[in-house]
Amino acid sequence: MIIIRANHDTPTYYLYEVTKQIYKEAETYGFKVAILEGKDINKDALRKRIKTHKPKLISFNGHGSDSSMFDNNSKEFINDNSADVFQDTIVYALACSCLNSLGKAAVKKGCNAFVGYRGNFWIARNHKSECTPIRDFVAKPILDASSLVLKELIRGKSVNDAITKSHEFASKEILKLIYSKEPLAIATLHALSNNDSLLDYEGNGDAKVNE
Amino acid sequence: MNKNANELMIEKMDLTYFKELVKARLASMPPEVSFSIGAYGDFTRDQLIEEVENGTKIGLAAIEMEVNFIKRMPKLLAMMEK
Repeated sequence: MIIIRANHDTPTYYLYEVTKQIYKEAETYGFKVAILEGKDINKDALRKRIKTHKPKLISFNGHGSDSSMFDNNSKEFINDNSADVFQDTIVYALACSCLNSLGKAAVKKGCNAFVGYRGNFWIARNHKSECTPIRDFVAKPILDASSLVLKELIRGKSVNDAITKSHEFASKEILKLIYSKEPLAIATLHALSNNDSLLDYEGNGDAKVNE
Repeated sequence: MNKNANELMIEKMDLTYFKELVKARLASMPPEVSFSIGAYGDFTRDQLIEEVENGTKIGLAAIEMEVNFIKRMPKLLAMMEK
């Protein structure tokens, strides 16, 4: 498994902190985890790692657009033309919009399944918790719902099942938030509902990483 | 560029209405909340209200989020009735 994780601004820092927990869980499931971060987030380094590790699962946390993933300097490092890099893998792109064009291009070029979002990924935050993202109760349900997809894939679930699990989790959280008396809950509610409605995949929904 | 369903919905309805709706929603949130919107960056509640008012790309992203929420309401109501 390869985890690509940018960390150069507040949202990528939040996602970066979450992958620490996932990394540990992946190892307990027997995955050899290779991490690409900082200046190593580039096309050549990714191709090299893929050649060496032959990963079944690639996770990307960072900024994206319809047709691109961005590196630690917010510069495009993968686009539709280089989407063949994801051949024979399942990809989870926790990034804005990548699914729209990059996901389709990747699947056309042999990616088993590409899971991601069809629009802007929102994180609602509490100013007071910015230094400790995992303690930010405003962001927590958003980060938990998005990381659940990857956790379920690691646990051997199919792409369809992993997404369904995340939708179910998000629905339960949304109901809790609707009834919550916490004044900040409305921010979480809107961001979580938005992200959940954009979560989707291209390719084979029955694909699993352990096949 | 192809327009998505939300953009078409916003276009069909009155953008001014959506602006007022989203600004009111945001204003009802406590000031200590902020949002990261993908690669657009980080915004406080008040900055986001200003973006909506000015009809910027970020403001339109906030309106699109609200449209996503409205479209989801029937499903949410059905869940609440269970």
